Amino acid sequence: MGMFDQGFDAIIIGAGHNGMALAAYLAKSGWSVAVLERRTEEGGGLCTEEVTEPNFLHNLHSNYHSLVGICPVYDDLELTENGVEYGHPDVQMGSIFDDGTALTIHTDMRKTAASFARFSQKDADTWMRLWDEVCGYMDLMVRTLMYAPPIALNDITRALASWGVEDKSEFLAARLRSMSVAEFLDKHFENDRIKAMLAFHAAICAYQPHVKGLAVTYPVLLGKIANWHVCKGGSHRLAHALMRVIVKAGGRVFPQVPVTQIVVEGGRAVGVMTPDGFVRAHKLVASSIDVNQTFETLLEPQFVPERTRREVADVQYQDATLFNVHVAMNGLPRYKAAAFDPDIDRAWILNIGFESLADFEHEFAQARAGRLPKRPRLNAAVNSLYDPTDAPAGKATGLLRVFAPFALEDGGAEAWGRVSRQYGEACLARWREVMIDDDAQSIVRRFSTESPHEISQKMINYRFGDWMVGRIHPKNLLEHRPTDELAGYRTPISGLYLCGASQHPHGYITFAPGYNALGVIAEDMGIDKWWDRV
Amino acid sequence: MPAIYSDAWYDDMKALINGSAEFKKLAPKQRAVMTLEVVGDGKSPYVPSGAELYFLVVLDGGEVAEYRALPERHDGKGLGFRFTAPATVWENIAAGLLDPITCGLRGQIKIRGDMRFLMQNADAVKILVDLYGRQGRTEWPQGKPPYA
Repeated sequence: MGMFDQGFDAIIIGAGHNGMALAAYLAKSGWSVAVLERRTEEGGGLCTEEVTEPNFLHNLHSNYHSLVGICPVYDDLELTENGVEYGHPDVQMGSIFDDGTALTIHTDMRKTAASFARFSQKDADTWMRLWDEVCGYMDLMVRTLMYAPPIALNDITRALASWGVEDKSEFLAARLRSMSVAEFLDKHFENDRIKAMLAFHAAICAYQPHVKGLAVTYPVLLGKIANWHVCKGGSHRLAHALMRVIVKAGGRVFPQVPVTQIVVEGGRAVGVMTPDGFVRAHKLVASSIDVNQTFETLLEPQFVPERTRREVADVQYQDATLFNVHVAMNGLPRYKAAAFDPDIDRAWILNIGFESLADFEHEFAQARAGRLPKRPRLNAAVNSLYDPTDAPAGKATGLLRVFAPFALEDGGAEAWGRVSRQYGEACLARWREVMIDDDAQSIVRRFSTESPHEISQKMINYRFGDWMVGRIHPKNLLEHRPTDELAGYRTPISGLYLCGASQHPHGYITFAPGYNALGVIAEDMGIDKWWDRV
Repeated sequence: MPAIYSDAWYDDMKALINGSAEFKKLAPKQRAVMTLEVVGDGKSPYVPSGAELYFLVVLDGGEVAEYRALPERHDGKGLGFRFTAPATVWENIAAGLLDPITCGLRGQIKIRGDMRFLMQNADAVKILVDLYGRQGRTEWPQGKPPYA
């Protein structure tokens, strides 16, 4: 008998973290579950490889995990007990400026305020009031805005108005829905560099600072500014833990089994086709891959209603993605700016180059135009600072990221093949500028680049290199993500659900799309929500 | 006036809410079960330090169907919301000294549950919390907040 002959209660398409989490919950609920994955391994963006030298572990995509301790999935699925270990850097982020000064964000927010105060006492005070306020409603807002199906923005703003929140809160207001992150920062802060540091946090969460309307969720984003975690042993460890939970609960994960078609009979999804043949889904098929692949590639056109087809074709992706440089290093870097703030040497996520809000506007405008800046602005992280196991003793693993166009002005996406190595060198040169001279000369052993085009070829879910799997824009958030019709995790095809990063809230290691799809599936299928005890 | 946390106080609160024509107009028709947890904080004379009081509120068909004390902590099954706060916070709200929305925003009241329901019924929630805080019909046999 073949391994697929009996079929499964649920078939999950794609073994990213959302699909695997959904599979784990369903398996723990007593369902027979199969996760079918096109690639050679599970994990999706939780991908750790030795791309430079042996024993240097590089997280190719997912590197920053910001919802540890907040996301219910970690506890529900006992991921720590199944092998996940996180480091929580005490110096979370930093900025190094051209004049040799630096800012640092600490888990101890008094230290953050002290760092801010060196640039502006007023802003340091504002920051502490903002932080105190955000901490009050952070848990509530995260659960409302992330770990529940989307609520309409109008409902949110009506509630804020009805409850008079504007009079009770210094920072939360209904009018945020029409403001950009940059406008929010301009309204409350005076110092350009502090604003740049806070905007950098938004930008690495894919919130472009000048997009109107994103300020409405920015306070929640700020609440996570001290919650960046490094997954020890590489992000792929999280995928292994998910795999263990699934297997222990009796589920199966099948790498190298690409789904070629979702089979529909009588208007209902009844299974999938693979190169090995038909696999029956007794209760449901859930797709964790992007909506374009789901509706335009895997479903035969006659099963896709006209409205669905039209709206899916209009789904927007990020107009600036990431170029990555993975670096094997001879040790931990030391920075000239440590003379100003010694903690900068221990800052995990570094902004090198964004000194004002205008810099973000310029950088993203360049990316939209398909151009590469001559002097790249970096997002640099040395995981070995907080996870020495990711490199040989005394050595270190580094990651540089740059906001970049998917298609270059001169030659389109495939032109990256010509310029990748050279642009990687430019990124390294920019990093060396801020290091002390000894390190600048000798610290880099080898490096490997990944262009947006290469990323999209490998991770086909990341259309146009978009790791958020859909633009972060008010038109593509909450009740509009990925489309008005598909925002609720259900589809017009009975038995077919959506559980991937195309869905609300967005990509990143949130587990939220999978978790929210689970809630909807539980309601439809009468599953006892053992995980949902208020 | 009924004494705080007495059976008569719970009954009075239920009658007060159900007597509000505005609440009746705006209240959600679907069933919602919530529990309030009052945690002794060493300041309230009504809830000893470390002890907890629980009460249950059930909305159904646009009115309060139940408003009563619970003998023990709700196990969470079938529960829509859990509101937890120190006794002093609840009692200051009941005495009209603290605004419950502000307490929720500042994290003084921990709220567990699907906040979307509260947001989608924001006007009804507003009336509910106003009635809790401004009814002014509570007797305070061991002293009224603010406590020293």
